[in-house]
Amino acid sequence: MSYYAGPVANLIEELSKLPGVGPKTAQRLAFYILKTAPDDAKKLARAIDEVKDKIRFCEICFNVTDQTTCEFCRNANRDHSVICVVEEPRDIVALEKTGEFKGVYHVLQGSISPIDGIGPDDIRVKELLRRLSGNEIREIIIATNPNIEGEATAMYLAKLIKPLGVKVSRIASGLPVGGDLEYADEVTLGRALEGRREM
Amino acid sequence: MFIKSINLRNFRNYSDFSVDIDKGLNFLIGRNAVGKTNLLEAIYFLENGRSHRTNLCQDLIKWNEEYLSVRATVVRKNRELSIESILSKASGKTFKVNGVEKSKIRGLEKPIITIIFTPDHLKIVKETPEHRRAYLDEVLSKIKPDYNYWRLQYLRILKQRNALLKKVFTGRMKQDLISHWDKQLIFSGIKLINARKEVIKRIEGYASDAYRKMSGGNETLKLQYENQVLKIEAANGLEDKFNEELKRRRKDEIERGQTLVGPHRDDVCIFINGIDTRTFGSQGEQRSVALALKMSELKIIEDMINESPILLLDDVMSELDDDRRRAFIEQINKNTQIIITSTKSITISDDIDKRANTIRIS
Repeated sequence: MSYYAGPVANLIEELSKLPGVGPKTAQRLAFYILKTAPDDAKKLARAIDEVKDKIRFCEICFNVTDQTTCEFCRNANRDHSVICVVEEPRDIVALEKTGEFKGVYHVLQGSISPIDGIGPDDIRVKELLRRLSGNEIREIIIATNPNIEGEATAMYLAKLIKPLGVKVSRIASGLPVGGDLEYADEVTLGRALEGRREM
Repeated sequence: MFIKSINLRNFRNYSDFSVDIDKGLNFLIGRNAVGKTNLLEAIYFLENGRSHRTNLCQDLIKWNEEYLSVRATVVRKNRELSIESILSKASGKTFKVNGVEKSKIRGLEKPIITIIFTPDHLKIVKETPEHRRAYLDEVLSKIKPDYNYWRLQYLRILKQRNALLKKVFTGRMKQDLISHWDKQLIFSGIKLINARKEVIKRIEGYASDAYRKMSGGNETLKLQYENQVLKIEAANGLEDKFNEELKRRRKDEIERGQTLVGPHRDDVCIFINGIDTRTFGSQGEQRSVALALKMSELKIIEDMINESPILLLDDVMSELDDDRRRAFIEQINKNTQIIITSTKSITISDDIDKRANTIRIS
């Protein structure tokens, strides 16, 4: 049974489908929207509409873009022979903030997870291989998340790509910079020890 | 370390209850259902922020009340600490040491450390392997800070791998994907195997000593770690053995949709004079073994923190004969605080009875 008039109940239901939004938050958001000026509410509706209308995936790397290719793939100043493979477009933002990486990206749009029924064919692996065959690629940097699904995806990609004669590397995991050793948790510190390098 | 005094508010059947506890041996005597176990549970809750009996913390709050609190004065190496654990229906858990709120204290860093023995622990000896694995996990997560992380990691990989095996069976995913999960399964699996192998040795050392004393010196207790990978006779490293065994069982695994190799199938066999206790041990023997295992846990932690943790024994003495009872208590360091619940007064030996403190609850 719904306590609210149809349109309000609809809005609550739609909002509660969003990640991290439960029924109570959905209710709060719905009533907030109800109270805002009509113009503001319309702006929000238009923004949602536009994002679905205009935004699509880059034909090369599957990042989000409002053109056929994304800004990184279009940029001639970037090194197109080094590809950094990430799970989601938001990972690109994180990597770009470092200012360290000058190559281009490839967005898998997920990671291998049998529990969720996601295998290699369900993420953008084929598209990555296609990029490798046509172009002069020197290195693939795999920057999937350091969790077990990201790790499995990384291993799968490495096994697939290495025989093609392309260098494959994996981002390191370990201590955060600027922190003190004593504040690191045991697991992170353990990993950092395992991944130590000779000086 | 010992608890000097404890106060319970709205905890289970207690509204407001305070009691002083002796730093040595304490008997907690009272009829059934007066709240003896609840008091031990309160101490466990103070230490761990949860109950050893239920996963529903809300049940600990007295009927119709909004919050509970357990507060204790604990003495550690001549330093007095005031520890308080609060659970409120509205704002959840709070933990304070000397009035300062603390979050996430784990393992041996906790301000109070207890070893609890309840009749349920007999399952370690009597029942299925999962109870013995749970016991190992419990000990290890106390003494090895990263153990729980690898255990959870392993379980997650197992879940993914099992899902994959089922999908390979139905033809929805390709078989060659399995090897990518194997590598991770082996990596975290070996961490668990090595940790368990080592801890079983340590447990055996102390438990066999405790058992010999309890049995009057003529019975030997042996623990044997049962793990498929360690059993393989080959010169290769553990990693290769694990890998080979996974390959050998692959067909079977796919058919059954289940990972068949790894520490999730471990067991520990317990022998007294070479005879399997689980199947052939008497009630008394099984009970003594369970107590000996707990005793080893106490000693292992004692070694690590250079202090005796607090020993909580819920209704265990009644079913032991006089000799075993005395031998059990006598071997515990006099500086160890022990709280034993019972429905009637217990006599152990003149010497021990003299120094024991009796707390009656009605």
